[in-house]
Formats: sequence, C-alpha cells, structure tokens
Amino acid sequence: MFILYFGTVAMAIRPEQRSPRPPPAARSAFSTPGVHERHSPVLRIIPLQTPPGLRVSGEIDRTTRKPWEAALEGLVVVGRDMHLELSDLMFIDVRGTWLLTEAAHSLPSGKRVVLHHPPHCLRSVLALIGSFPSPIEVET
Amino acid sequence: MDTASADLDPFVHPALFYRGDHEYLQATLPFIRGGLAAGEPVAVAVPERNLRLLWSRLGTAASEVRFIDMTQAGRNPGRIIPGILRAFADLHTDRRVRIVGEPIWPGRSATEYPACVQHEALINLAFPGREVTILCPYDVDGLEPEVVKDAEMTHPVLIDDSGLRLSAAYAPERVIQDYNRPLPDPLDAAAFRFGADDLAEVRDFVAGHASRAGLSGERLEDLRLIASELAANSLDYGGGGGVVRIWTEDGQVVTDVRDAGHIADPLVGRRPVDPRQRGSRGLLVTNLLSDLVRIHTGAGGTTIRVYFTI
Repeated sequence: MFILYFGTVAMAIRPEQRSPRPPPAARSAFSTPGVHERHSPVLRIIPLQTPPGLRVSGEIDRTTRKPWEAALEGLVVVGRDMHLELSDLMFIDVRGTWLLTEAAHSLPSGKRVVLHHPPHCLRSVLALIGSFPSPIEVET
Repeated sequence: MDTASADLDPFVHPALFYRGDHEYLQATLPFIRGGLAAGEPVAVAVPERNLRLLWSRLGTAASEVRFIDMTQAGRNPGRIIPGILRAFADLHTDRRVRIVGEPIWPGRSATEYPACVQHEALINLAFPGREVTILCPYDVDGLEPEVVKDAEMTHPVLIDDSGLRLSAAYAPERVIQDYNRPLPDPLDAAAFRFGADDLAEVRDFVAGHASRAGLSGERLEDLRLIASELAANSLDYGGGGGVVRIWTEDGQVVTDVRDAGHIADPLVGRRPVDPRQRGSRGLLVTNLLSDLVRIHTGAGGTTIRVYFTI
C-alpha cells in the first residue's frame, strides 16, 4: 500500500488487486530475503508551495508509478520551475526517471526541473537516458 | 577501404587480421588519416596498449581523434553498440564516420567471448544504411584460430597482409544463433521466485547478497537497479514472474533472472532510445551499467545474467 498526499487531502491508495501468493510449498525450495517481513514499496509525495514542487520519499517502481506520474503532470500544468526534494527517495526505476525527463520537456520553454539531493540511481539513469541540453538541474 | 566504401550499402564493416605492431599501424594509420583528410569524424576504441601505440604515431592529428579504452568502455560487449559506436556515429549523421573498434583481444575470458562474438555479429544488424565504417582489428598471433574463424563469419569484408577480400563465410545470423547457448548453472546460488508484488523484495534480496559479497557504494546501487529492471521485464514480458539468483564467481557478483519469455529482437537493449520516446529502456541501462551481460533465450524461456566485478 502506498500513501499519496495531495494538497490538504491525504489519500491512502492500495495498488491493484494482488495476485494470489504462490503456495508455501512452492516457495520453500528458495531462500527468502533476509528480512521476512514483506517489503511493499511505499511512495509519499508532499506538495511544496514556495518554490512550487514536491517532497518525494520512498520508492518509485511499477507498483507506485501512477501517483508519481500524476504528481508530475500536476506540476507541469502549473508551468513554473519545478523543485523536487528527493533526499528521502530510496529508489526510482528507469521508467520513473524517464517520466521526470518527460515532465521537464513538457514545461514551458525556459522553465526547468531542479532536483535536490537525488539518489544515485536517478542521477546515473538520467545521464544514460537524458538529452542534452536538458531542462533538468541537479543540486546535491 | 575505398573499394569497400563503394559497396551498395554505405555501412562498411571489415575485419583486419594483423600480426604485430607494424601490420597494425600499416592498416589503421591510413584508415584514420584518410578519414581525417576527408573531413570524417574518427573514433578509435581499442585496448589501452594499442590506444597508446596509435596516439604516439598519429602526432598532432591525435587531437582530432576520439580515443576510447575498449577494455573499460567496452568491457561489456553489450555496451559497445549503444555506448560507443552509436553514441559516436549519432553525433555526426550528416557525414561518414570512421571507427576503429577492437572488441576482442587476447585475455577475453571464456565467459565474455560468446557475448563478444554476438556483438560483432549484431553490428551488421545495427548499422545498415548508415554512412559508417567500422574497422575491427584482430590480433591473430594472440587469438585462438576459432576466434579468427568466427570473425570471418561476422565481417562481410576481410583485410590481411594479402589485401582485401569479401568473406565467403559471412553469416551473422547463424553466429547469433550458434552462440545463443544455455548458460552454465552456478554451483551454489541463492534464489528467489518472484511475482507481481515482489519487486521491492527482489531489490532487497539482490542488494543484500551483493553487499555481503563485497559490492558497495554506487556499484551496489547500480546492481539493485538492474535486478529491479530485469524482474520488472519478467513481469511485463516474461509470463508475469520469474526466478532471480545470485552468487559469486571469480571475483564477480553474478545475478540472473529467468522467466518464461522469449526475446525475438536480437538488438534489444543495444539501441539508444530517443529521450522523448516512451519505451522500454531497462535492458539498455542494464547493458550500459554492467561489466558483462549474457543472454540465453528460446522457446523454453529467457535467462539474462549480469556480472559485476567486486
């Protein structure tokens, strides 16, 4: 389950229906991750007013992609420089980073996305898939 | 070279079979200088020793050439087309580009070699229609005779001390097929069967084992990302789940993901994707970040195995 805060409204969103777990017998041949508590990705997005932007924490992968995409689209509509505070973003997959580049390109010309403290996986993928010149600035 | 350049397809991909520095320079220097004289951008992506050799002999012209250490930038053969060859050629689409590309050298391991041959074969599928010449030197004194035979199958044109000729053995599709072999099973691997809800657990599983094996810092983060991308591919294209395994082998952390999918496109993960284009980039990023990627795919499923040097 992930939680998406939008404006003053806090929404708790459960991802699409879970598929049934494999029966225990089928899993016993395989070791399980060290921590036996289930790890479901959590994404928390808090809007920031001045400057306009988002504080994003947690993990972005295909499980939590939709609220990430929606939050970016919401900021693109505002059409101003977009500041993202990412020091508590633990993981973002390749598609998640691409969505960020797409949002940056969709801003009015001259406007940019400023990333504050992005994790390594975001910076490295941005360098591999991004375009130059890029409307994205990275501040570590 | 000029004879070959007059072929119908503007893409030219000769192998150069050389013995010793003298033969190497005798063929590569005129190729490089000829390109510069014609106003063609030139890149040299070869092992460090030959890089130094060419650098010292080119004199002031060296400043006009892009030099790339193939043992670093091309250590993963799957990285060479998107990360070196297309990366350079795509900067200059308005004129012919010349590249010296030496992806196979004595000392390439038996684990790396099949990926090297597949890469050489795939170049022929990646560049048709492009105004690009890629000259691939082969050190015939240092390489096994089988390597030279494979090079005759992956290059339409061959150059040696007797001159230039068309290769009668040229058959890149057959090479791609022949080297699409089952990957040997590890002796002792940790394994985790994953489904649609398990991506975060796949990341924890791989990062935990890799960290205990000695991988750390940004390399550990890169492997965590790749494991997640490969598993996500299994969810999207591989039947909705798969098995991820991890072990160590000769100073490397090795991770593979097996699923029920079949990869029909041999160039998958080797084409740069336009930044504005929606589309899958997981395998491309995997190729760009890994020290080695091996793939076996068929009707029975797909295994993608990545190696990270500790």
